[in-house]
Amino acid sequence: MGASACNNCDIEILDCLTPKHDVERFGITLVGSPRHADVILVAGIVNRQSLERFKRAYDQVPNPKLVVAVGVCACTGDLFRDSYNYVSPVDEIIPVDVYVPGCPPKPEAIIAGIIKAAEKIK
Amino acid sequence: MKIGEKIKSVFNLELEEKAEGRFYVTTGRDRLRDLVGHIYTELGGRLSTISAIDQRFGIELIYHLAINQAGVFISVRVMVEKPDLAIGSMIDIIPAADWIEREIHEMFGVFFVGHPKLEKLLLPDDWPSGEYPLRKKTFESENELPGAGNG
Amino acid sequence: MVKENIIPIGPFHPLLEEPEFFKFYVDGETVVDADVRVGYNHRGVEKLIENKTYDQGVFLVERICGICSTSHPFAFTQAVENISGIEVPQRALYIRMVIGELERIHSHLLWIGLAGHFIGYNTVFMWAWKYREPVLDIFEAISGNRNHYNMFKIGGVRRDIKDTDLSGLHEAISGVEKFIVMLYKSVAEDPIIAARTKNVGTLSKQDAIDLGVVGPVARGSGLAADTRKDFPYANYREVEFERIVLQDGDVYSRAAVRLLEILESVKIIRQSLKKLSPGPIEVEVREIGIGEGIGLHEAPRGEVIHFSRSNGSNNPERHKIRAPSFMNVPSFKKTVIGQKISDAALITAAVDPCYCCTERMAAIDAQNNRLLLTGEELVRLSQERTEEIRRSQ
Repeated sequence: MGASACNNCDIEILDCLTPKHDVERFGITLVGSPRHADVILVAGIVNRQSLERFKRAYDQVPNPKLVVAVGVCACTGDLFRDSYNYVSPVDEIIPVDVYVPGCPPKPEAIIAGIIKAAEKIK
Repeated sequence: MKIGEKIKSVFNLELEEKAEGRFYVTTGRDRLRDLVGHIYTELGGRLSTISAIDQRFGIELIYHLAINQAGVFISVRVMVEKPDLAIGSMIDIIPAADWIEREIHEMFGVFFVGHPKLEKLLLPDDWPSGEYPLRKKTFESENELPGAGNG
Repeated sequence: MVKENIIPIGPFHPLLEEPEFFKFYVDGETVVDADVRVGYNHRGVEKLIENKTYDQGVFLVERICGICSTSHPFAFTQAVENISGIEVPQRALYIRMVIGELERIHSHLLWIGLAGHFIGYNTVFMWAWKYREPVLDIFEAISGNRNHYNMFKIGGVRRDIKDTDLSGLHEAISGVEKFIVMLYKSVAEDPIIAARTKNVGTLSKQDAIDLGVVGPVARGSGLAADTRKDFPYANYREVEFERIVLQDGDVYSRAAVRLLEILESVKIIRQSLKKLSPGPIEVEVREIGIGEGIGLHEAPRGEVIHFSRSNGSNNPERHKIRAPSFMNVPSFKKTVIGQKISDAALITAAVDPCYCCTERMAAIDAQNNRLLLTGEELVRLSQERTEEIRRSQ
C-alpha cells in the first residue's frame, strides 16, 4: 500500500521480486487482491487526500493481518512531518507490527522485515 | 543581444542580462499578456513555469520563458497588487499555462482572468477555502489586526 | 514453511475505490475522454523548505521523487549557486554529471522494464531491472545508498569518486551499453512491438509546443530541446554527445529516444571520468547573498527548473520547483483520446510520469460512469493485445 511517497520504497519492494533478491524462495508470493493477503507493506506518508481510502483499504484485508512499515516516512513521517498536508504517523492510523527504517531500506532489509512479521503470525 | 533589441523595439523595455543568455525584465499588469504572448508566438519562447512570491502588498509573479534554439532564458516580472489579485490568464495563447496557473491560484490566491477551470490541482478537496498555503503567515496576521492598513 | 502473501504495489492501492490519477472514459473499445487527478503525492515541499536551511533543503528535495532523486538537488544547488555566482570546482562538476547520467540510465532502464511488462514481454522487464542492479551497486559504492545518494551540496559534491570505484563503474555501464544495443536491435526488428507502438498515442509537434512538454516526450515529437545542449550547465560543454530527436511522436519514438539516450549517457560518463583531474570537490560557502537564481537540469523526464529567492538569511525566502512531469502529464489526454482502451496503459506509460503514478489507472464507462477496468486489468488487457497480434502473425 503506497500513500504519498517518493516511490523509492515501492521500487525497492518491487526489486525483491527480481532474480538478485528473489523473494519467492522464502515462500513469499505476490497476490493480486487484498483479500488473499496476510502481510501488508506500507510505504510513504498518509496525506489528507488519501486518508479515508487508506483506512478503507486496510479494513478490506481479512484478519489475521500484519503491517510492516517500510521506510522512515511510513515509520515516523520523516522530513514531511511538518507539512500542511501531513496527517499523522501511520501507526496512529493503523496498527504497525514491524518497522523497517531506511530511506529507502535495502531489499534485504525489507525481506528481513517481512519474515519477522511472518514469524509473528506463527 | 538580438533578443534584447527585439523586445526593446516592440515594447520599449530594457532587458537586464544577468548572465550570458539569462534575461530579466519587469512590466506592468496591463502589458504582461502582450509581452509574454509576443515572446511565445514571435520569438519561439516556451513557458517553463511561473514563480510566485508573497511580497506583503502584492504577489510578485515571474514568467520564465525558455528559447531553447537561441540558448536564451527570459524571466518576466510583474507585481499583482493586493487586494485585487487578478491578472489575465495566458491559457488562450499558451495552453501550457493551464496547470501552472491553477497551482498558483490554489497556493497564493491569484485569480487568472479567463482561465476556464481554476480548480484545485494539488491540494485535497476538503482544503479550507481562502487558505493559501504559500502566503507568508506573518503578512496575513498583520492584515487581521484591527486598524491594519487604515492608518 | 507457512506460505505468506504480500500485497503487491501494482494492482492494489488505497485508491482502489475511486481509482483516480489516470481515468479513461470508454465507449465500446475507444477512449472518448480522459482525466488525470494529481495531488495524492502532494507533500507541501515548497512550504517546508522555507523553514529549513539551504543544506537541509538539498536533502529534502532529493526525496521529492525516488527515481530521479538527484535531479532536484542538481537544479536546487544550481539555483542557489546562481544567486551569488558561486563557482563549483571542476572535479565536482564532472562528478555531478556522472551521477546525473547514471541516474538517467537507471531511470530509463526502469521505464524499459515497465514498458516491457505492459506489452507482455516480461523477460524485458527482468533483464532491464537486472542491468539496473550494477548501476545501483555503483551508487552504493560511491555514495553509500542505492537510491537517494545525497551527493549534492551547495558549492560542490559531498563525496568523491574513488579510483577503486572506477572499474566497477566502467563495468556497469559497459554491461548496460551491450544490453541496450542488443535490445534496440531486437525492438527495431520486432513486428509485434512495431504493431503495438508505431502510430500509437501520437503527440503532434504542434501539440508538443502548445503544451510545453519536455524531455523524451518532446524529443520524440520532433522538438530538439535538451537543457544540456541549450543551456549548458556543469561541464556539459566539455563533452561530446548526440541530441536524440525523432519525428513521429508515437510510443515507439519515445521508447527509442530513451533507449538511444542511454547510449549517449554512457559516452558522457566515460568522457567525464577521463577528464577527472585531482582537485577539491567543494568550495566553502559561508553565506548566500540577497538575490535570486534559476537552476536548470535535464532530468531523465525532461527539464527541471528551480527558482530561488534569498533574503540573505540561512533559510530560503522562496523556492519554486517545477518537475518535468508537471508539463508532460497533461499531454497524455491528447495522446490517449481516440485510441483503443487496450493501448491506454502503454500510452500512459510513454509519458513516463513516475512508476507508481502509472499504475494508478482506471477505465470508466462514458455512458454511465461505471468502473470498467482497474489499473491491473488495463495492463493485462495490453498484454492480451500483444498475444492477439502474435497469434495473427
